Amino acid sequence: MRTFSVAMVISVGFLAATVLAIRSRRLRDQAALLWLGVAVLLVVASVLLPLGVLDHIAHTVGIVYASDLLLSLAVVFLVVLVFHQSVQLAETKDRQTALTQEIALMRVEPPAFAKAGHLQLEADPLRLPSSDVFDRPDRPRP
Amino acid sequence: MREFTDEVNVAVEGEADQWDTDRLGEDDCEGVDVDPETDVLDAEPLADEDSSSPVVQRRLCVIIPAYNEAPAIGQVVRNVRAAMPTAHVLVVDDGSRDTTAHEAALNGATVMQLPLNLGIGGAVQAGYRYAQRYDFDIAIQVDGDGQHDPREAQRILEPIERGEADLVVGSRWLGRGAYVAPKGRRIGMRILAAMVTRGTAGTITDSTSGFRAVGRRGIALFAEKYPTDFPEVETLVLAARQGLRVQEVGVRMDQRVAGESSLAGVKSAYYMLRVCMMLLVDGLRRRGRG
Repeated sequence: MRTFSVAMVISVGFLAATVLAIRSRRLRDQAALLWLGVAVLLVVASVLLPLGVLDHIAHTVGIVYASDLLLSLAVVFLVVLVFHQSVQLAETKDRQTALTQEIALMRVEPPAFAKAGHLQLEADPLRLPSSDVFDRPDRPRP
Repeated sequence: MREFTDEVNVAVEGEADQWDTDRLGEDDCEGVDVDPETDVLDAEPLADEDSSSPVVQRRLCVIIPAYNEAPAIGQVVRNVRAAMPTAHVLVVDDGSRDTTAHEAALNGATVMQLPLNLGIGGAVQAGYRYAQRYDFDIAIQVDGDGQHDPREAQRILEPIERGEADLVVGSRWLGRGAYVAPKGRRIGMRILAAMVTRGTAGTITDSTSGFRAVGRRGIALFAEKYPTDFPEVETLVLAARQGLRVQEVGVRMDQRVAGESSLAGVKSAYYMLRVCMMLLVDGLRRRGRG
């Protein structure tokens, strides 16, 4: 019964923290849904803990202890999450690089011949790389 | 491929700071066998098959990436301007914390200041984006630390001006000047040269040289995408995959005065390993994508 109480306190506390974070907009969109789902799952798992349901599920998939089942699921979940975040980090870094260069390009003095008007610049001065980094629905891809 | 760190905070002294440590080849590589047939120095002098077209002044942009090079950058800019008087000299200041930008501007360069430190790859790419935006015909990269002799630039520019190549690399190994290389780098440099040579279908002996020039196709390609991990090596493979004609010419380079660290052997082996891994990763990438 003590395990049950501890599990309940932790999972309900986590659910509350998630809801608070969403309300204060520190979690958004997909991340909000994801963590809300995880929190609810944790609460459900805590409820099922004393009923022996988890042990039953573990046995049917060939795992002896319910705790091993939960641990395995947690590891898989975390690996997928980290992979996803590292993809997003790379994307964010590409955008940051492009923006940094763009700011520098806006501030730098053009060469003399460009100032003299010999050069016709393209219509869109904010011509950004046409990679999917700047894939925006309102801007048609070239 | 990247460390999972807070890039913005680390940028100042973190991974983006690849300026010296990661650019082995510049001062410490052992020569690789040179196939005399590919030595452009021995090629016939000025071919004038293009003599029908009128002589037009080509717009040349010198891209000088610089990070905390205040003591050297002024002299570099003066040397470059003396060697290439008609060229537009652009110093890309990669978020230096010293007076690099000021020194460069004082000596007559146009200075592009990056608000964040991007590392050599991001800085050079900014230069190429400038060259593309202002419609330059040729861009030549010269390092901001003075190890490249701008008087040698004409050798690199020639194959592009003649329309024979899209990307020309200045090599220390092709017979100009006595470059004394420390031992222990031979095997690594050979493997690297072999890998790059396979990718470029031509002999590249000095794949880490940052002394290079490109024509319009190269400017367009590098403005669009430019590798950040080992840009000197990776750009060669990228350019070749995109069908650019890559050539190498011999140039004289100043040897850096800095003494050699006892860790250099280990470091260069580690560098080699990382470059090889990176080339493998590049090989997995779909063509036509960054």
